[in-house]
Amino acid sequence: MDETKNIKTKVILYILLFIVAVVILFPFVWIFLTSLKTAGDITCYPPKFIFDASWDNYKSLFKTSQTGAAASTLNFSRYYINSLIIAGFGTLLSLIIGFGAGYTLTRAKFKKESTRENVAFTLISFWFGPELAIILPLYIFFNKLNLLDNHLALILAYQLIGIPFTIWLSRSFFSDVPASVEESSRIDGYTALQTFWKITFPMVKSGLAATAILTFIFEWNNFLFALVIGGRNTMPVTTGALGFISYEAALWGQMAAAIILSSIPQLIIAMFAQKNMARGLTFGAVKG
Amino acid sequence: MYRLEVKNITKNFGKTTAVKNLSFNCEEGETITLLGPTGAGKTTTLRCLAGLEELTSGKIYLDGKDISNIPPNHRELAMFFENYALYPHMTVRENMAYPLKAPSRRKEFNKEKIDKRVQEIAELLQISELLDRKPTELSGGQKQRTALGRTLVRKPKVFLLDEPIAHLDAVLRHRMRGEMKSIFQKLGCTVIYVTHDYREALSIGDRILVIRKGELVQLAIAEDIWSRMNNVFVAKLAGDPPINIFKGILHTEEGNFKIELKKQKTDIVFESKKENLKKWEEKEVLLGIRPNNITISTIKKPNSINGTLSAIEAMSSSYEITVSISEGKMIKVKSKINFKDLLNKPIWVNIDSERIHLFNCQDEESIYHGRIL
Repeated sequence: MDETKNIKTKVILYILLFIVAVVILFPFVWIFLTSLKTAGDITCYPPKFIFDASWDNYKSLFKTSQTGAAASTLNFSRYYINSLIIAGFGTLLSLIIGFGAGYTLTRAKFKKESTRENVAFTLISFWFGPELAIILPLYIFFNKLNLLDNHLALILAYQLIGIPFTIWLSRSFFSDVPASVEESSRIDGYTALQTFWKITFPMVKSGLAATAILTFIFEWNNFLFALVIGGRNTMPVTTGALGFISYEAALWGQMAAAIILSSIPQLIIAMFAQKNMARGLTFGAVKG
Repeated sequence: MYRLEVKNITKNFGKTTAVKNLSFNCEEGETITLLGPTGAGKTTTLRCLAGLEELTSGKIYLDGKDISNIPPNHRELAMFFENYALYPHMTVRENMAYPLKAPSRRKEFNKEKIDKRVQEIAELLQISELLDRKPTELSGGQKQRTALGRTLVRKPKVFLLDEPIAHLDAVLRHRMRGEMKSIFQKLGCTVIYVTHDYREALSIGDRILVIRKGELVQLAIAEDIWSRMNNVFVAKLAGDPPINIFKGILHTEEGNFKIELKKQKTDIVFESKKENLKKWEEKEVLLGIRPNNITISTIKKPNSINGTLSAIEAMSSSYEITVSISEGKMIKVKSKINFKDLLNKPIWVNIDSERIHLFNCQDEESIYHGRIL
């Protein structure tokens, strides 16, 4: 009786999970299939699920001599490198500043305890602000500094998303480390910095890894800053993919291939760090 | 081992004063217990000694050297935290070895020496078989031993222990109380031990420092805390059930003293040769009597108060009896006999007038102690 009931629940569970998987994966599979189709197959109706797959779209992304007005301006590998530079260094900078601030906001002694929350909230509130609201001032700002179409400008602009996010998340991880554990280490003969590396860091590293991954994904996916502040030389994949839609034609197949390629770093990181992600994101909730 | 001198230390947090002008000495090899209710400033005092809190004023000397401004990692003190503060990512062995691996002790301890020392202390605390476990795999008692082991593993100048056995179950707590004392004696340590439990304080401390609102109330040996308390606060703090207190007026009568308990309509008569008692004549005083110095009877005897026996609680080796007297006041009595038959019946409580304590009514300071046990 119990066993059949068990199997029933399992079957229902798997069906539900399958539905969820289909809903989540469908766009991804669709794009992947599109990237393997020829232009004719893409636009035909009803959509073809069986067709002659080819890697031509991928190959054309990296070809130097291309036909058509849209394609001639495209340089996908360049966009890719731009994305890696901007999101990579952007994340690094966010982590260095954000973790430092997160830790300080957790442990530093403030004269008034309310100051701590006020400072933290002010910093974190940058994250709430809509990007559209600041994009124009930011454009003028970087224009005056002569930094438009410059990697540094994008890296700095990304800090508006990166730093508040890393502060907010890392702070919650740091505050899960009991102060007495750090104090105990101080009394055991270690300096504050040694205590941080030997005690605090190992306790929060899964959380920090999760923070790092999410920050990278946010910065990699950013579109608006790259569109307004970036330019021909600094265009990352997000805005680069736009180039496939032009006055003459929309190169759906190449665009799909570009999208698939641009999501690879995130996929690799997420898979690689899945364990850390899960542990990190549940760190505060589940205490041993 | 070393001598610790605390001189007039004060610690303010904003406008609140946690420790106020506290001074005491802890001699070499001595155990002092800090006793006080929650929020009395015991832990803050300990944290000041450890260097975790900056002093607002005052000095701390260790063997004559001023350590007030030395950071915690250079103070050479070991501290046990109430929540154990074990390092969760390290095994028991790594936790215990951690203080020995500190940069300042690197020269003194090589790997073999560390292993040997950890093993020694683990055997002393009977946790040898747990050395490769992580703190999450330990029970409360085992965590407590591990934390104690980490405190004992290096030979610090002074041990600071914050409620080391407060969170253990009753049986274990009782056993550890005895063990702690013997470990301290075996190692000959200088110890400052914080507790809110008077039994623990009295049994472990060579001297007991009673603290209230950050101020020293009494620093004395256990017998004195019990029988020659400085004031009502100390009297109430030590003792379970707590001491009974009555308000009365002191008279002299035919060479004897008499306390007139107006509300209870009774006189308590006692003999004393203490001349200084005379100056309290005809003044209001507080009479204190411990529950074990009161007996219950059905007939009126001298120094008796009448009341109704309202509750009996069975304790391990005695009964705790509550007697209601006039105006809703209760008297607690500790007795070997179970007066079950007298429940809710009128009875007399007889006060052993030789063992009473008297306190000044204004500041509640002690003015007289009866015969010591």
